[in-house]
Amino acid sequence: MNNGLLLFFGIFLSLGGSFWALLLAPQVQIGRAQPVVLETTGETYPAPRSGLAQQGADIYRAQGCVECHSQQVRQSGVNFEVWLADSGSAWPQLAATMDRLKISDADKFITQAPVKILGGLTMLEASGIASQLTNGEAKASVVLATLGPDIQRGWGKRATVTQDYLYDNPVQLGSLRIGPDLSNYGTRAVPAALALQHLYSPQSTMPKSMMPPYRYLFNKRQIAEGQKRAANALPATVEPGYEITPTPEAEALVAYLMSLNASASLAEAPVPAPPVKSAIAAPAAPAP
Amino acid sequence: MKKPNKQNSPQSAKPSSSAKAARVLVKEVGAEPVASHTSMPVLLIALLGALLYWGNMYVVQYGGELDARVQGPYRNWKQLESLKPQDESAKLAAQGAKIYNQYCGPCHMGDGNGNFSSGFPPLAGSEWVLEKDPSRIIRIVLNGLGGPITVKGREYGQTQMLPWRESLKDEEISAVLTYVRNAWGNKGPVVDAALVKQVRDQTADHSGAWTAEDLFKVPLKN
Repeated sequence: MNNGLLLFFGIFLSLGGSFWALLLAPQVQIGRAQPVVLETTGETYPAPRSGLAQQGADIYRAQGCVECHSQQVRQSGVNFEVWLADSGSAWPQLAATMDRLKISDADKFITQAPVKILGGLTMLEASGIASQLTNGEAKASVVLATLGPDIQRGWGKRATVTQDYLYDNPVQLGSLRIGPDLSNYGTRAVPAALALQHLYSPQSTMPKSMMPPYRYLFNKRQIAEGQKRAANALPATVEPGYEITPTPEAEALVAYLMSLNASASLAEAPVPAPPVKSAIAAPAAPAP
Repeated sequence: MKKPNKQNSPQSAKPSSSAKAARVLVKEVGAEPVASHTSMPVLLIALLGALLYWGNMYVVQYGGELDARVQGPYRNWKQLESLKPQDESAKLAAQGAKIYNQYCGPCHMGDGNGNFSSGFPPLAGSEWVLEKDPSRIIRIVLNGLGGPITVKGREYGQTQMLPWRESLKDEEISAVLTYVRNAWGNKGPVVDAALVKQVRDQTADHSGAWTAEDLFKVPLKN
């Protein structure tokens, strides 16, 4: 073989290069990622899952939920909003300033503070307007707005990042969205009973759902006349004289779904934080 | 083929260098395909160069400066930081940091710990600085301070602090005090420029530096 050595090094270089770039480099960069302490609440993020939820992750995997549901929120960019945090006491003056800035409905905004006044601005525009509105007791602030179709659909408030998957093994990102994204299922305030009902009969809770029913994760049990229903039986009666109780697998799966929450504001993925009236630091009281 | 098969070669009887043997072979039986080098077309080199350039630019633009924590629509950590709307106090403090390093840092030091042997009291953790009502520290900055003063349980006072009434504007004093009240682990409310102006007007006829004794007479609002 002519040029065997060259060939060997060529192959070695291309394989070694991709091994470095695809496996070693990510391992060096994020292999030792640790939970972080959130600035806003002081809690560690992500919190480890409870035992039941951890079992649920395996059920989620075994049932192939990942084939139809993704767990990744994409974000296309950011822009900025101006919020009137506090209208203070000099209302006519503030209304005049807002008129000058060509903001309509000034009176409505002034009475409703804290309220969003303008959106879709760049940082420069937003901070310019906010600084003009901030005068005396009146305070306006710039609020970050995250953009993207996923965020518009209400699937999350920010892009999901590496930190969100720290306790997932394997990470079940999913690539198809026959069903909705589940990264923030736990924040959607769905009662566990309703989630179980949805697993048993998806169309009963969501008429147009394409999800197949997971009846084998439930037990159907005949109840005798006058016998009490089980505490964990599904609230809806499917057939008179029968009750449906979830198996431990179904309960674990729901516990896992409830634990899905990627809404914390991280340093690398800030979440919009509109002002709250009480959170604004009052200027120090003047001395006599 | 680098070495012609010696058994089948008509030249096998004559041992010679393989290159020579190959040349003779080509003469006798016609061109046999031989692996060798051909120069790469210039166009392909140019194309690969352009591809390499594009790849590099792509990594520069979207690689997040190879920081694994920068993801999603954000380009790099600096951009990510600049996109976070800062609140008033953070902006003031950033402005105040510059003023501090220019005017205050030389004596009170960059870490706010002062210098005991030279008589410069600390600002980090100082009860004077952390007092909720800043009207006393505004007076100190405006007119300077002399005489004995106790800070964090230690006596200072060999050196006199300079007055900054003429050199610093109300906004600058407000910024630098807000910075001092929020740096090195300090946590204090914003010092309003309007309050600085008010104190400046009130103490317009005060001559010379303050003493700790005079300052204690200034009432505090809580």
